[in-house]
Amino acid sequence: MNLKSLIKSILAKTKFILLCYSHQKKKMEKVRWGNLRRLEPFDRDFGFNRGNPVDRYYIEKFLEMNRSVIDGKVLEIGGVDYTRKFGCSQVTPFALQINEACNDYDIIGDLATGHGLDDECFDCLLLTQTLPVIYDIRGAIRNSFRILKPGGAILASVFGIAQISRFDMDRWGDYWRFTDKSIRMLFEEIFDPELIHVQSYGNVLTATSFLHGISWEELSVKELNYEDRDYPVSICIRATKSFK
Amino acid sequence: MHYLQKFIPERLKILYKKNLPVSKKVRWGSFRNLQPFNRDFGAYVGTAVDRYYIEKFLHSQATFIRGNVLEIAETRYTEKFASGEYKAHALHLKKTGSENEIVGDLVTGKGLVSESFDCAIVTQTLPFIYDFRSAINNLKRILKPNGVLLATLSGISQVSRFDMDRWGDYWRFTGLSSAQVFAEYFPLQKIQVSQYGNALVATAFIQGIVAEELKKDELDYYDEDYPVSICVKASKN
Repeated sequence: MNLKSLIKSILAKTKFILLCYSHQKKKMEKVRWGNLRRLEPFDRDFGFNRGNPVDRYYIEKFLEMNRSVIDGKVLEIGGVDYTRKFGCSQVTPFALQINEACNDYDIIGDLATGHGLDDECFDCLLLTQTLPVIYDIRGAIRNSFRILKPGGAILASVFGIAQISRFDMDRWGDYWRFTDKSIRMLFEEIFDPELIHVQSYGNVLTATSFLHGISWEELSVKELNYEDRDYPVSICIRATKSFK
Repeated sequence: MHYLQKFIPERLKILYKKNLPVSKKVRWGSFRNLQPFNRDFGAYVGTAVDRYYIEKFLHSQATFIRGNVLEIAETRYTEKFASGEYKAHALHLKKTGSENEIVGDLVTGKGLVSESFDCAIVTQTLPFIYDFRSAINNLKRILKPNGVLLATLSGISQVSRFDMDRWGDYWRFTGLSSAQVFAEYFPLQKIQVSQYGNALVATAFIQGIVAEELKKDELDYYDEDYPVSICVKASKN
């Protein structure tokens, strides 16, 4: 073997090793876990013990955008906080309760069966994070449509990427997580497709925060507002009942 | 002082009020990033975390994978986990010409003969079918009496872009909803739901960090509030 071929083969080998190394590096950058390599999340209660949950940021952003719709007779689930916060000045709030009525604005009823709810009675429905905890989701959407006045709108939000809500699971169950596509198709079964608006919020960072119960106050507004269609944390829907 | 407070942003005020101890502060490492490590579940780098759970589940159910076995799109898991005599079939929506192929549609039931399989392995398929109830009904129909359905579903997961762009990505389940859905078609006492995952694994999964990067103890730790994979075994009367 002469010197020339020897040098050639050595060069080829080093080139190959270097190529492998750079390829390896590109393939998987090293994960620096910080203190996120933990089996126990920071907060089991979605971040309520640290601040406010990430999904609440998105829900309030969505309600803020749709303030004009929250007018007239508004039905909210379990309380009237959002109606008071985002509703127009002339708004009449109602709260849907399952078991007992404590306040004069409370209504006892069931969205899934439609029990206790009259036809064409409300101008607006606020269903924040309600549909994921109802097994018969089609029944709930059908009844929501029924109790809306023509021209009335439903503002709903559902979970995309989320842990189990233990509070709901222990009471009435926690059933579904959605994608923007499935929730749109569910609403299209009952509402006019042209009057449905679906907005998905979240990205991998806010999804990670949400799973670990890190509050939205610990993230920057820029990070919260970045939208990545593969990582829906909250999916918000506005569907209007047509006059026909 | 009260005058100044007006100028402190609301979010800072809340943080100050909660005043987290140092031990509870988040050290983000490489996670304070708007892009995940891998977009494709890490499939090109190693084993995606959900696949680890699926294989664990199928391994534990190996005794039922025998006889006439139907799998979706491929026969990989049948060949890997089958015990005893088996004949593998792959269900395709369109004809591809490969051997052992069955052309059919789970939703309409077209091309699928009733009571013809001893076992059906349906991994990560139902989340991508809008009308998953018809699919489960058809799966029940094509099973022989005492046949077993082994299905896996996603709990906490990002959108699978590959599937979303082709046939759609629709559903994420919880242990409770999967049990209830299968109970609509199978007898309740013949349904067994196993759930896998915890907060760490869920984080790794959505970031596209593969199973090889985690320890076995971490993967096998079970936290009922963080289902990554939900595996259902249902048998026909």
